[in-house]
Amino acid sequence: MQANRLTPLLLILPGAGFIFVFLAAALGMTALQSVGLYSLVGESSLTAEHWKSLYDKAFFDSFLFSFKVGIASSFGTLLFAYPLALFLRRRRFGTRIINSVIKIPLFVPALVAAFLILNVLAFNGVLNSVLMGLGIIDEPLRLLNDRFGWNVFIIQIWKNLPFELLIISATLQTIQTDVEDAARNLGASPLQVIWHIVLPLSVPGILIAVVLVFILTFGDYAITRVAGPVYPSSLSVLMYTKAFTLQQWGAAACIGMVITVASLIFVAIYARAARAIEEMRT
Amino acid sequence: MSAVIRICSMAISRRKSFVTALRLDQLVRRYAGFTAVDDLSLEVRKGELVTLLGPSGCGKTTTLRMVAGFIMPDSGDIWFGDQCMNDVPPHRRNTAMVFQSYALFPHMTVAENVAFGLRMQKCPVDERSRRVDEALDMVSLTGLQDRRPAQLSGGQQQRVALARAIVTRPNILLFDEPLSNLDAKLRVKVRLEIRELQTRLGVTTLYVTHDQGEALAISDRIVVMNKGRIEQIGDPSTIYRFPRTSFVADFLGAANIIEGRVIGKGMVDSPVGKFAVKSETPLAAGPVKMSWRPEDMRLASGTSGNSIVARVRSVVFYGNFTELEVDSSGHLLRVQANSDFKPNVGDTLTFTIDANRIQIVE
Repeated sequence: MQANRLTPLLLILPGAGFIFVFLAAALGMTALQSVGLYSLVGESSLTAEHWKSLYDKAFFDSFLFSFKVGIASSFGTLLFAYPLALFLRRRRFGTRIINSVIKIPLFVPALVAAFLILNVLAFNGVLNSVLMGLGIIDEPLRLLNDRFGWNVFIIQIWKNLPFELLIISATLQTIQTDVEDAARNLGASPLQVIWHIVLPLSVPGILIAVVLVFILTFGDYAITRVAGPVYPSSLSVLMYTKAFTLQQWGAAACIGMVITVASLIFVAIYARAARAIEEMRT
Repeated sequence: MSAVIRICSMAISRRKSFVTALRLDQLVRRYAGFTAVDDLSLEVRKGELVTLLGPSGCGKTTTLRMVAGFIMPDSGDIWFGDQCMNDVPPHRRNTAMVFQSYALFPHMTVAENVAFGLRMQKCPVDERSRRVDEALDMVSLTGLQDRRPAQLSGGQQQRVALARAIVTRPNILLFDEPLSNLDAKLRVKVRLEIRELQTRLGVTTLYVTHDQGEALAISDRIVVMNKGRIEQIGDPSTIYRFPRTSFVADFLGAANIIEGRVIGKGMVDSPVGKFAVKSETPLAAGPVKMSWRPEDMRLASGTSGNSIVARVRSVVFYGNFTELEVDSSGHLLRVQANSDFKPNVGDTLTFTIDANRIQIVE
């Protein structure tokens, strides 16, 4: 009896314990660091100085940039992933090949992905050469390190497409064929079936995909570092610069807190929305 | 309102014997390795309820789905009245199907589910809500408009599916085993309601089931299918009384099927005895199969004509009748007797069968 109760505890202890200890310790220390109670350089004392130092244009620009990249990448990826998931849903000619090829970005590290696509998007890269060769543009487009971050979006979409595709495909699998047939039978054209039936029923999957990709891209370091604009930088890049270039560890800790809390807020919003949808259906 | 419907349906029923609403002409549908529907031809008159009856895999659902347009036939034609539907996509066929799984839209309320077909038809809002209320009233679901499918019982979901189908006033109503997810008692109740509603609306209906009781109870005509082909078409009593093949005899109710040889005019010799039979066509000499129902074997006092002597192997009491399994010269026969009759296992009994209850089958 006693042993039986202990078994599940022993099973979860290594995994959950590992995560809990490191998460709690790391988050706790970062939180302390951000208010000066734990310092790598100099004395430790309670201070709001680090948080105050964030109150400048560079930080807000970085926050807005990261936010913009997060939103644009997650929804931008959706624009590509959703139609593709709809197409791949039914087995037809070529779906197996597309299915394998599409997953490649999952296995390419973000930094490598950024370098790969750099060559395509560079000032003298493949895309500009082709467009100029075709006479579509007269001079090369500046796609790299541009202020808006086009290249970052393109790389993020490339990188996250298979991820969203997998989540959305799994959701589409749960929609009964009979339900779609019923809609067709009642006079809905193929597009109307998607609009009135498939799309509303796949909202939970869309939500998960968008939120997860948002969190991944909001905290991105590698891709923005390689292909992003010189200014503003992403929050993660700013954090790195503060810590390692400017030796402002306290300010870096504050940024770390901002990234973590913002991500948690988005997860909370997602959980709320998911529960609301669930309640709506029962 | 219902008076108007009754007058309309009378007008339709007066005409219905002349008008063919649905014609299937030599339909064939093959899948890798087998032919699901094999050269099937069928005419359904306007306002008629025709049942496709057969075991699973006999092609009945494939046929239904071809009429709805979900499956394309490999060859053959589908006609709605004088219009060939082969190239018409499902959403332009104006059929309405009641699915086995009900296939309700889980994200919509009951009213929205029922209104969906009318919305697709661009029916004006006020007319739409009037017709939705009317349809919900017909299936006794008034008051549940704002519930979601997940909040309804199986029987209620079934009614929503029915209301959703009839509200669009379809050319043809299609049922795909609509009652198989309901419990036995509800099944009997709902099938009568479906029949009543169908007669009231006078809507041409194709109904798929594997339940012979259901088919006998609600159909104008039954199409018995086996291995993609039609075995027999006829009204319920004809199909039951005069099965043409041993498959039909056995599938609709139980049948005793005994092989024998024709030995003279209307006489058949078999391992269980000699029988006088009545047949519309004269019997050619040679082997034949005889079929009769368990309830047609009556107890007899002495061995005269058409009698069988058999030993009781088992006795099962069913309440309204008692079923016996008896053995005659190594052939097992089923007998339905009055439930007061309680023989013992091992008893030897004599039965007699009326000549016109014996059916010669293929």
